[in-house]
Amino acid sequence: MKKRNYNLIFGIIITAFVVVLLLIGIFWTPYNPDTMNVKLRLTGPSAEHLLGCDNFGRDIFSRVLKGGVSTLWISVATVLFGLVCGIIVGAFTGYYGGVLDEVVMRLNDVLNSFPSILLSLVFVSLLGPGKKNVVIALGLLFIPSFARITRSEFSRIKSLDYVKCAKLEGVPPLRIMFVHILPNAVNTLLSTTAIGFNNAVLAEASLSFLGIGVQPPDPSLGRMLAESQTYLFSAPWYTLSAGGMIILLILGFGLLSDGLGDIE
Amino acid sequence: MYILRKTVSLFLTLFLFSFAAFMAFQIIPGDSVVAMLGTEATPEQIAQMRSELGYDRPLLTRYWNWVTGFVKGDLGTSLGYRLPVADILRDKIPVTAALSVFAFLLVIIISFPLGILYSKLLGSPLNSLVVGANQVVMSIPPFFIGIIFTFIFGIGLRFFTPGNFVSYGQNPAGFWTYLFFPALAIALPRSAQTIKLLRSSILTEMTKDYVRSGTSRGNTQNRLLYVHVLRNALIPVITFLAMTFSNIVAGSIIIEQIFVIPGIGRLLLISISNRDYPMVLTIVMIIALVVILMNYLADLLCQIVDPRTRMR
Repeated sequence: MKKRNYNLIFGIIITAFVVVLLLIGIFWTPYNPDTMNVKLRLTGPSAEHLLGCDNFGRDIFSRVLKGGVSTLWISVATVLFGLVCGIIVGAFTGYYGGVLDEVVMRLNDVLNSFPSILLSLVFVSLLGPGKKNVVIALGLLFIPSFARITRSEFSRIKSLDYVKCAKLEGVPPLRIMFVHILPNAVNTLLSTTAIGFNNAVLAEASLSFLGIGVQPPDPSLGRMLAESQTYLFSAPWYTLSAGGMIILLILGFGLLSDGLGDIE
Repeated sequence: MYILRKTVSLFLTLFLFSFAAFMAFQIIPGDSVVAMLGTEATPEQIAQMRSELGYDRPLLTRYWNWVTGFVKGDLGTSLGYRLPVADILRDKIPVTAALSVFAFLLVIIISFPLGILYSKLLGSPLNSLVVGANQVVMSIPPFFIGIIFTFIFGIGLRFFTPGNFVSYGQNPAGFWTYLFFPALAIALPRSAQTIKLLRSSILTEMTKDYVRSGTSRGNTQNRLLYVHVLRNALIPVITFLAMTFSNIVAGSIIIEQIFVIPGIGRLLLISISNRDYPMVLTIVMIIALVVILMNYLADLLCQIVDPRTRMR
């Protein structure tokens, strides 16, 4: 009997649920996330306000959607940035090997061993806070992990017969790299991309939680969580909603990555 | 030979990182001298301050002075506090160190027994439940756990008073009690990751030929596990634990903020917002030193546990 890939199944279900919810959130939220209503200040969950209201009487569900969309955008931008640069670095080092490969990979190892929160703190403190700088800082930090995976796939595949054939036929190296080899490395890269999303969500939330990530008026789950701390006693649903959305995102991407890694 | 190569690479890494960090903080856009003197300072005042702080000397000289100073314990002057950085750090470092070591011990205490136990559950109905629960714990950010702990154990059950940090000098027992919850908040997701790795490492090892041979010679499963399998299964875990320690030290930056613990993490955040770059640079370098040393130690430890790595 074939064992079911539960990681993949649950990963897809959770991620799809959250992403669809957030995609809806781009175009429609039950209330305007910025409309304040003093009468509804810190009211609990009800039929009208699914997750209750915050300290300004704003609908938390709408705000969680808006914050989640922002977190998701930042993660997509970050991962894309890291993925594209990582693939380019990994493709060249893996395909050509040699001294360049040795040096770049040593550098990669060093960067990889550093906790991303520390390096992103340094980057953001140098560049200044804000959405764009968070993307740049995190994107740069994600290059090594993608480069490493791409490199190992490329150096494995380049010695396969079909690549040798292509070389003999005189196919240009760039075409071999990105048309012939890359599609065969996609499977492995998918799993790494999913874990990249996982890390991006966590890192963005951490930075914004510390107040040096996304700045107001841009919404962010991390900052909501930090703001909700004050009202923990009177409005626990505020904290739980913001935190719950972060956990769902991380959990979904984590399972997805494991599941994709299990496919062989 | 292996140790020599690793040691050379250790110093190379330290040099590269310190150089890169130093340079990065020299070319930052905001001028910290201006931030310190205020916008109404005259150009003469700024020039005088710059020469007092040695900012007018060549970059390489300054790098060299900074490194030799760092080694001797002379860390420069904080721009925000106008005090030697070393004096400010003296009572902050032990706090962060205590928190990190505490959290690290918790990770080991939690993850080793559970990882071994979970590996025995394979095939039982409990297995998926345990694996699922572990995955969920892994996904909870430490700062969220921190907030929940403050709420339940601080405000609700009054095990500690949030924001009212007890220093070791005042009351050692109170100090460790206060640190317990922040340490646990850092440790829980990390433990779940370690459990997952240890469990899968044991299970992979269990399918190897030597285990089958061992079983056929009449060894009990427990003997096989503790005498043979665990030793091999621990190798990837050691490297992972070194990274975990680095992550714990870095993660304490956030946790210190939530539990209002006066460690270097809180100081780092304050210094970043004050544009106190000598301070930021020093703290970053200290954390980097810990990270690099931990990785070095992990490499050496791995080599002791697994002599095969010497060949690579």
